[in-house]
Amino acid sequence: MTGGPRRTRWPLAATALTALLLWLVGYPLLITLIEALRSPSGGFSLETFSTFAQRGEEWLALWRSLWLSLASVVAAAVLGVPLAFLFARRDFPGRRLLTALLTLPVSLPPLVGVLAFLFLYGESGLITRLVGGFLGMSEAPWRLQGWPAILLVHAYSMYVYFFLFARAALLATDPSQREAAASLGAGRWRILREVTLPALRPALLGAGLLTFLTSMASFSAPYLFGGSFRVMTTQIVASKLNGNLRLAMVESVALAAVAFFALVVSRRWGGGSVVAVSHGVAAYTAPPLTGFGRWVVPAMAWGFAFVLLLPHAVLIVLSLVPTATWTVELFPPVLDLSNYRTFFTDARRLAPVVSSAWMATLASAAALVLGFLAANLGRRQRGRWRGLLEGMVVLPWAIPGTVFAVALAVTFSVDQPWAGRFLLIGTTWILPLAYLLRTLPLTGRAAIAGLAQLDPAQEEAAAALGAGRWRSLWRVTLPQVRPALAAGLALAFITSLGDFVTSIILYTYENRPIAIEIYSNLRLQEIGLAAVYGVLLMLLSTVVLFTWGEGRKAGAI
Amino acid sequence: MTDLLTIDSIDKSFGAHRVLEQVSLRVPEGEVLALLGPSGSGKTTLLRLLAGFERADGGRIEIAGEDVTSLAPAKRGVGMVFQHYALFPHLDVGKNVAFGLSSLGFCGDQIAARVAEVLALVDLVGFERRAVGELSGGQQQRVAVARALAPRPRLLLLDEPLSNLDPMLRERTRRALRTLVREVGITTVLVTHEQQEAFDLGDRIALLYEGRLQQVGPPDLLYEKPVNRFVATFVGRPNFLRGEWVATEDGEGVRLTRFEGAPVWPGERNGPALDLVGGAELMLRPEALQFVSAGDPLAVAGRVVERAYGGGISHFRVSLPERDGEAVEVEVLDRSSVAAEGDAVFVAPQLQGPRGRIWGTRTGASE
Ligand SMILES: Nc1ncnc2c1ncn2[C@@H]1O[C@H](COP(=O)(O)OP(=O)(O)O)[C@@H](O)[C@H]1O
Ligand SMILES: [Mg+2]
Repeated sequence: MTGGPRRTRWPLAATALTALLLWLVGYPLLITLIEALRSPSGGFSLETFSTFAQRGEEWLALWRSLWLSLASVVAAAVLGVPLAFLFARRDFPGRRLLTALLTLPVSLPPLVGVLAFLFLYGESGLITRLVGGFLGMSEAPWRLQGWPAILLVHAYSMYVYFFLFARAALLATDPSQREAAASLGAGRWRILREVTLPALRPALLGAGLLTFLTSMASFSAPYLFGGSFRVMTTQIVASKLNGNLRLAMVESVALAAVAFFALVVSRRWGGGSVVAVSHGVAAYTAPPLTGFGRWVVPAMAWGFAFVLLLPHAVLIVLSLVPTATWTVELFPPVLDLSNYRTFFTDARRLAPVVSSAWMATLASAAALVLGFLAANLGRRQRGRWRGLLEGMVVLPWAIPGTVFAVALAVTFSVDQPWAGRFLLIGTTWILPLAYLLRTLPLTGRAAIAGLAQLDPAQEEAAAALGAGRWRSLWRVTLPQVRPALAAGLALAFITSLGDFVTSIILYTYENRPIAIEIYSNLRLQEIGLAAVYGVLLMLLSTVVLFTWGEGRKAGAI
Repeated sequence: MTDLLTIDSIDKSFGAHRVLEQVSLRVPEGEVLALLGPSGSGKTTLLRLLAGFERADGGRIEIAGEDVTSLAPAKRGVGMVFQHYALFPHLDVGKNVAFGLSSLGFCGDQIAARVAEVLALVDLVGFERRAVGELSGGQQQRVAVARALAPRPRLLLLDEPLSNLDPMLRERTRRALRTLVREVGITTVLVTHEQQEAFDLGDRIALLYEGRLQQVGPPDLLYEKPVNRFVATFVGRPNFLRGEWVATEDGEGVRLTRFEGAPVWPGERNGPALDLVGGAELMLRPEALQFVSAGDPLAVAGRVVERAYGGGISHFRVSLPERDGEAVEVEVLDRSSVAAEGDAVFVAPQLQGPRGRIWGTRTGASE
């Protein structure tokens, strides 16, 4: 490796960008902390904190968030890691197609996934009816409620992290290492324990952290399935909707602190991460399955893929069921396009789609620009500047969306331009801003990962050939990081498009986004229309993710 | 000496692709055998069969008289050094080297002592606690060798052990490796695609091409008495001259042009029964040719088209008008410039030293 890229002699741009990011990302959190420490009369006080500390339900919610997240990590790992071994180490018919199918749960926005689970396994869900009918029961054989339901949804959507991370790590390790161990007398278990698992450690830690943070921040599943089982995110929203903003602030501080603590702990653990010794890696062709396994394993994998795709299928089916036509039958008696007709002919129905589309476009484009600029300027700066720039970009990754929503609600509820605070609550602009904050780490991390793979000598070569800064950026840098940026942009776009967690706190009726519309349709028992919106989100997300998101293994998720 | 390794009629295919065909080989105790061949000839596959990472389709492998053909790698007592070393990146040097010792039931002190002993052998005294990622390529290679040697294997397998080093280091490491292997006295099979490496390290050389063993023997045998065109080309530089085979009073030779009085250059067949139908081919090394005067009975006229001075030895390309301008390579001691480009010269074979080889034009191309 040659030395890092040239350092800029002109840190003004970096200074301005850092200031902007600090204002965007750090400032609302700081304001929230300060406001939480103020008494209603104005002075400094720990009053709200002590209220928080004295209420058993707050501790209970925090504890539930914590153990549910740990349980989600375990469940996702138990599902994802063995699959990663199977798909990285063995060959069987349909392996490539199945690999793509197995990652489909990521493309379902959280609320849509929850919706689909409701349609499948809820009290009058399709599978529930089928099983109940098969067993001859008059009531539903189970209830999709409480922590088991939340855990099920988490495992479904987050096992993908373990599957993708572990599979990539397995494919990247040199198969000769295992052979070396074998010829040194090690048996299967010793090789797994002492050679394979250590090589997987960084990937497992990464997937574990991602799953943990995503679960801590998870809102849709606890909100719809939790009932009286409150976790921290639903607790915050309840406080906020009850008008107790001050308590919501303290709760947000507590949740953010736990998430941040998890991030720090895992960084500490992962500290001794292994630097690969690379002299190239021996080519490895996965041996085909033999004997009995040759039929059983693919059959099970296809069966698993089928179960994974049921949510997608049921959304489509339910979107074809006209309102109030499906009552006690096992299968819906009528299927037609009436919901779609309603949807397309009523301008009010289309309004949320338009809102979501422009807000997601604006937010993800801004996130892309900011993320790229921060990553590109950051890598030319010295340690502390760089840490600050990249830190501000990545920080929102560890902070749950609910916390950011509360922070924005607090910060932008007053008009104090001299303090950098504007009245945005109740306006159209608060949601795009929230989306921007939520998606900044997605584009930023993608840009950092993409730029890290760039050989700095190329830019020097361009400079030596007389290319100026912009030309070099345009002709040399951007084309090479484009796949990574496209992947980051795709994720940012679908995250904004399907956002529920920040929207429910910040939306105004005029620009209510799709997820809010789904939720209100659900409450109005307009199941078919909710499903139509769900199908729309699912299609858009899948298409965007699989056309732009090719390079998403490059570290964007 | 008894054979430590016996390979008997090994066949191996990957799908429809036959990678090894009827390979048989014996390696006596203590010998270093260099398995030489171009890329893709099946060298690594053969080595992996010996280590037990692949199963042969047919044939038999014995190590020290024991049939290991279908024995698991862990039970073979074979040490292997991989082309990319395959060190365990999460373990330090000492733990890498100790890896094979704990399976043997060594206890803590014995392990430490043995690790120190083999590290000393590869000239890495005191490197136990170093991370493998911090080491240079040459040091990593030596750790890989130490790790393979630590459990005192019966057989050492090295897959292109020098190919990942830069040229300067390669030379030095090669010498160190030779000393080490001789010192330990371990039976070794070493894979390489470089003739120089094979000559330098191997007691004997087994030349593999397209999955078949072409010739096995000490380096000078392969150089001086190659059995076919392929061996002659892969080991050293050859001149091939087609002509008519004739018996002479002191043996045999090849007449270089069609007319009766043309010179017959002497040569030798490896086996008397070689099929010469369709014409014979004479193989001569460049240094087996010399410049002579016009009166020499074996002289063939030529013109120097290229001269490369190599410090003491010069290399000439000479085109032969009587053979339609076909060119031969001549290498001679060149103190006071023997000939210059454009000069008319006469070329003839040296009569002392090894004779040229003769084979049929059809059989000579690798069978
Ligand atoms: N696991 C494998 N599957 C399929 N083909 C293989 C495999 N290993 C080697 N081959 C093929 O066998 C041939 C010989 O390979 P190899 O033994 O690696 O040659 P060498 O080491 O002499 O370069 C090559 O054509 C290679 O493509
Ligand atoms: Mg090879």
